[in-house]
Amino acid sequence: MITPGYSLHGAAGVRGGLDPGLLLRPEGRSVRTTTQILAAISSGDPAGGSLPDRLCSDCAENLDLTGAGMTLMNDAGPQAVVGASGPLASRLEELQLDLGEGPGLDASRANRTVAHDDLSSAALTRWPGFAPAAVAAGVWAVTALPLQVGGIKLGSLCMYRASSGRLDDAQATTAHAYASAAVVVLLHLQDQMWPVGALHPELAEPVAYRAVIHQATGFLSVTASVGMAEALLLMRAHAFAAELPLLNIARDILSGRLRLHPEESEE
Amino acid sequence: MTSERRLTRVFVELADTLVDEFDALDFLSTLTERSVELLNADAAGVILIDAHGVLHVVASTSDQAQLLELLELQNDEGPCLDCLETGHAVVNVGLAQSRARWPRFSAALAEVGFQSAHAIPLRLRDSVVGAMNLFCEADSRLSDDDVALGQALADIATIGLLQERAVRQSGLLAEQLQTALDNRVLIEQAKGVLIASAGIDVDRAFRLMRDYSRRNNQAVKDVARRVVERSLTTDQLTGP
Repeated sequence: MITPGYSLHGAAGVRGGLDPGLLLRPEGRSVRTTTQILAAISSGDPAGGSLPDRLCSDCAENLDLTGAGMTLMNDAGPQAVVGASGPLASRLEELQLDLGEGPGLDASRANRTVAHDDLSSAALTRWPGFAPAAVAAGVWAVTALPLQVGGIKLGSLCMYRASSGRLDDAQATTAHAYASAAVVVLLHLQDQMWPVGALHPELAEPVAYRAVIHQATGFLSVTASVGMAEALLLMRAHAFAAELPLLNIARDILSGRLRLHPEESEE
Repeated sequence: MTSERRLTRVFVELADTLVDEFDALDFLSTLTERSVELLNADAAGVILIDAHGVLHVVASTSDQAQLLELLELQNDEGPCLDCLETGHAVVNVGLAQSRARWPRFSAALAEVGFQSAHAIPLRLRDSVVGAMNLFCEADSRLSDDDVALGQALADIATIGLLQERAVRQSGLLAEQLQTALDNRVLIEQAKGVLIASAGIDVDRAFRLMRDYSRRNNQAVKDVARRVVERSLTTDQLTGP
């Protein structure tokens, strides 16, 4: 079983400061601590997917969410959706990566919780690509938490809800416990790796899912004579305009079916 | 203030220190000061034993050279060394008693003006990671209760050190995770560069980099970085 042996600054529940019995939600469901979450997902049915998947499913169930998703990032930005409670969460996480915008990205960039209680309104200007798609998928509110260790940004955990409104205090506390547990899971997986150069299969597999995008980025950097970051922006712009997943655009670029040039993005 | 209330406040203070922006050295320094107050001593120091068995002074109530020497000296002899070897507290060591067993330590103790010394182990499960030394100007004696309190304070020091190690370990793992992810992305981008510039398929692109890496004894990730930076051409990759 995984224990929160890794120190987590600001991790709610890790230091046992909360008495689960004192904080009851109106429905009578108690606040969960990081330790409880880790115990639940590590003793759960392995058929429930990878550890990050199980964490997202447990989170969605416990907080009455439409879905929860977890994204892994590096300095260049988000790189893979490593966990999701189901297809909806998976799609919204992938969408954030495709667009390069969304609550998860904002949360990890700013290292703070990003919440929006009504995606149909103000969020349209904040996330012009993500918000309408979320609303169309039946998601009206979102809370995103950063996953970070010291100064190192590891990604984000997004919680999607079918009705507008905020998380109450007890739910917010539990949400933070899930984010702490998510960091522990990521470090735990990395801790299993020896030699240390590789990613754990539970993380490598989702990263490999988007490998074609990195290959197409490298490809486009040659054919369009641009840097990697600009090549990715070109592909994103085209995917957004064409309303297609970035993966499809990447495949078309690699196969030569689609040629992109810097000026095309400015039309 | 009753000693019990005072004690509670010390423990709360130390627990608070453990939570935010933890600094192990500041923490141990606070611990030595409170230990001196609670156990009616005049000076204290924390000594840790490193992987090579060498003792290092990591905190003390004063930077006075003689006190530091007294602590350092115990790499050779003294109650601290005994405490580390046995894992048990060595307390109420008076000048007369120490003169016979540890002549150099005893001389140094008298020179600083101390009459007695105590050493309490920092224990981590079955191993001893260091010891807390206490020195008294009077030939005072620690009662059993005092020794138990001293041990409780030493145990807190151990918790502080574990906390520091956990923070360091999690930072290290997070860095490893980031590096592994960076390398993964870099290798895929390099494949794309080679596909476009050499007109080869993705498997061939990887094999080119892998073979070059073996021939030139360079890690694949470093070869990939050079491909992405265009400091390694396809001709160079395929060449001898």
